[in-house]
Amino acid sequence: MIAGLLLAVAAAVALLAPRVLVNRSWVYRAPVLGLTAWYAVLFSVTVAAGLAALSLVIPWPRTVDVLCSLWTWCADALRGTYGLAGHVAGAAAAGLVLLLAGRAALVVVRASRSLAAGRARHRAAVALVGTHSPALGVTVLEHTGPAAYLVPGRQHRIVVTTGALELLSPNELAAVLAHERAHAAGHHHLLRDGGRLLERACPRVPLFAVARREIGRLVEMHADQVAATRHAPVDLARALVAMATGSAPAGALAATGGDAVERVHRMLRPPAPLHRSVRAGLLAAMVLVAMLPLGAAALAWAEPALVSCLLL
Amino acid sequence: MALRGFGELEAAIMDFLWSQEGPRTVREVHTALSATRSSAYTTVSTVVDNLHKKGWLRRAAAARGAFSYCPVASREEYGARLMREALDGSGDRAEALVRFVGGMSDQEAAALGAALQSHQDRLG
Repeated sequence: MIAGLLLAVAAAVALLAPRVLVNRSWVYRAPVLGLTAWYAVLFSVTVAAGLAALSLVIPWPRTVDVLCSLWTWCADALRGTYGLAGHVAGAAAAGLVLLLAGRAALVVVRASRSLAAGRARHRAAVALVGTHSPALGVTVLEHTGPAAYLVPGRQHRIVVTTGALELLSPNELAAVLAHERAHAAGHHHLLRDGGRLLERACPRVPLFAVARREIGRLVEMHADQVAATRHAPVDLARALVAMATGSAPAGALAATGGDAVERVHRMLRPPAPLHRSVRAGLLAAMVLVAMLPLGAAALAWAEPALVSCLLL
Repeated sequence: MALRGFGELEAAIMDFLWSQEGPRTVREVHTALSATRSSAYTTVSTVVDNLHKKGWLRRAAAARGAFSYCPVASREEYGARLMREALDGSGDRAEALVRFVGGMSDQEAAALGAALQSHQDRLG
């Protein structure tokens, strides 16, 4: 019963979140709040699904403490308290849940290792191929295509191509570097990795793909916003347009052209920030969403009859 | 600190070999580098061998049982490869200002330019 309620919570949040969070103006007016909202949703869905899985292998309600009851159940099953059939069924269910959870965990560990290793390799290669510019605090890569990027990690590195140095004015370059430094300072790669890893662990859950994309969009907006506090937004906009159009081999498809246009509009006409009371209300709603699975579990534990009424 | 110095030596060796027309032996690399730094011959030899193992240098037999080395690809080729890797669609490696899979269409480029132009018109 508890599993049913928790799965219903997970499904409801997963289905509703994209409708509530994608292409809503408040999310883009306050990117940090938007990022918080996405993480509240991801937390809620994964905790609800995890608790549902856990509750399947635990005779519920037995004790308040979930982990404690898991141990009790294991011990009881080993002693044969539930009879042979119960023993086998319980072991099979527990085995399946553990297998799925273990597989997801393995995917996450492998993927995060390969992300870190790929970045380290890239950083090492950039160190060999590029030249360090102490004046700019960046590594300059000999390349005609104008580009600037951050290789994230503990020893992050900002890379700028010679093409970008030729193309951009000093003010534009400064704004671009501020954007990349904002990525580093905000640990944006960790925020993006959360979305990436969830998507890789559960590729069949559409929510995670949407979350990964939206988190990427929001961290770009946030970095733009940070850069705009110290530099003229028009400089960053000009740099973005110059780099986007300057590196274009003809006839190819753009992946994020739409986002780039949207960002240029945002820089030039920044949306009004949200009122404090609106922010507080949204934040409260996010806390509520994040706490939903725990609330549902507590409700099911306290009032099993009520829950069966709700579900039927 | 030791690691950092090692990386610098790797970079210096690659810089030298990229600047040369043909393959060079470890002896030649060491001689060229000793003008600006005091690295032991064995250290240079080890680092060159590492670069060969990591796939940066191609090795060929030279006179008297020695090997000569040259970069597998030019600096520009490596640069282009790194750029592609950094700016590919997945974005796993790098946080780029703008990211395109192979560039952008004329339409999108025009839309970007127009966005900027309309702002300048409003001001001017």
